[in-house]
Amino acid sequence: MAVPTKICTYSLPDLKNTTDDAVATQYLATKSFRQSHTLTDVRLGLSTAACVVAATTFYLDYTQGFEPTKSFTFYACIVYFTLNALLTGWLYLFEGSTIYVGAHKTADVSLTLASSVVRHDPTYRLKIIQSQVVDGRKVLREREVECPFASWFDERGFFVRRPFETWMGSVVPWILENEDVPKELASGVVTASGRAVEDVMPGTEIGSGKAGRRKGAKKT
Amino acid sequence: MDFEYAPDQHHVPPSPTASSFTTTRHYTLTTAKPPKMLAALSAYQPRQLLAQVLNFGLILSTAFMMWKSLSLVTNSPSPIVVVLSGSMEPAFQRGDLLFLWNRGTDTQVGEIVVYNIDGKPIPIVHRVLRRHVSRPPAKVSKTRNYPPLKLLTKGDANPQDDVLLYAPGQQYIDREKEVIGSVKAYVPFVGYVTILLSEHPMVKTVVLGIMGLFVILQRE
Repeated sequence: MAVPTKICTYSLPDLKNTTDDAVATQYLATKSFRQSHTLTDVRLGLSTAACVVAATTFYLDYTQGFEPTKSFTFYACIVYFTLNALLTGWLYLFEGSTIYVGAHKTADVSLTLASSVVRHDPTYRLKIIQSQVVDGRKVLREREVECPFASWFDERGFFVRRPFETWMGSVVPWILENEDVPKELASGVVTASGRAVEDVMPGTEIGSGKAGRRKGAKKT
Repeated sequence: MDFEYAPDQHHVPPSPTASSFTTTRHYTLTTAKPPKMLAALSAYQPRQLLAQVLNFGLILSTAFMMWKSLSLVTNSPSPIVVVLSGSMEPAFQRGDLLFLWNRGTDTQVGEIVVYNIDGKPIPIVHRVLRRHVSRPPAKVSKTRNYPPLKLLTKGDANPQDDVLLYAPGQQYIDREKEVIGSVKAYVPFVGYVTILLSEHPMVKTVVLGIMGLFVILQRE
């Protein structure tokens, strides 16, 4: 994003959409995550198919008239409204408020993030489902976090990256294992290896220790 | 004091007391700003852009397919029409919205029908004045619910019947070939918008363009 987008800080959809985009493009993309677009692609596929059916119907109706295309139009209507029902079902049952699905590039960890806002309350609510294999068992960790939008939008309506990344880093801490540690680290979080970090001092490296060494090497 | 504005480094706004003592700040944007709307578009990811375009497509195509479904149910290529002339006054005024039905009708004298004459672009709404029933061969009459009809029509406000409106040499209209439905219900005046739109083509273009742009630029 060459030009930072400016939004109206009083508009809840603006705040939410910008933050949703930032989760995927500005934060997780810069970490070792690969986004999976399957959910979006199915939705786009269904809507494209519906539009193509309607466009074909329109073309045939326009060129040949009502009577000759009657039976085609009949089936096209059925197909179109079926596709529309599938699309609605997909949105309600599967996609929902999901804003990100992705997997770690090296570790066997995948993330599903869903965001929501409550009407007239400028707080970002993020639901994080972290799925990974620990000791041969599949472990699902789910946590719900929230933070006021004002933490990462300045008063002019510009999205500010750093506080947002600090917050994301503290709520999805196991990303940190191979990344830089944020300054403010919340307690009570769990790392990818399953270790609780309550007892770790703020600012202390967590994880395998490799990151710490690498970080030190970078500095010198 | 010149101040280059970089939103990423400017999270905490200066306190009001502090800023009131400093000299005025000049914010210079680092990049030239493209027009606002284009900027909003270029900020989208390809999938988001496609999704916005498809959203607009779905609105249009749903409207179109519902219209086509109504056409199929009523068996009329144009199940809702707007009265364009005053030839049926006082029954119908300019701008009245008519709902047509064209299924298995044995049209009677006094009914109001809408018909299309070959080579004339606009359908005509007039009352049936006279009807001629032809007796088809026994084989044909078995397969149909009502006998073939020839109709003579006249506008209530017109001084004479419609023979002059028909194709040269034509005395009657064919119920099956030329009539697209008989009027079952009407809503007064609602259709006046479409008269405005069709009599001023620019209005239509502008309205459609603005609607499209809004759907693409707005989320939710």
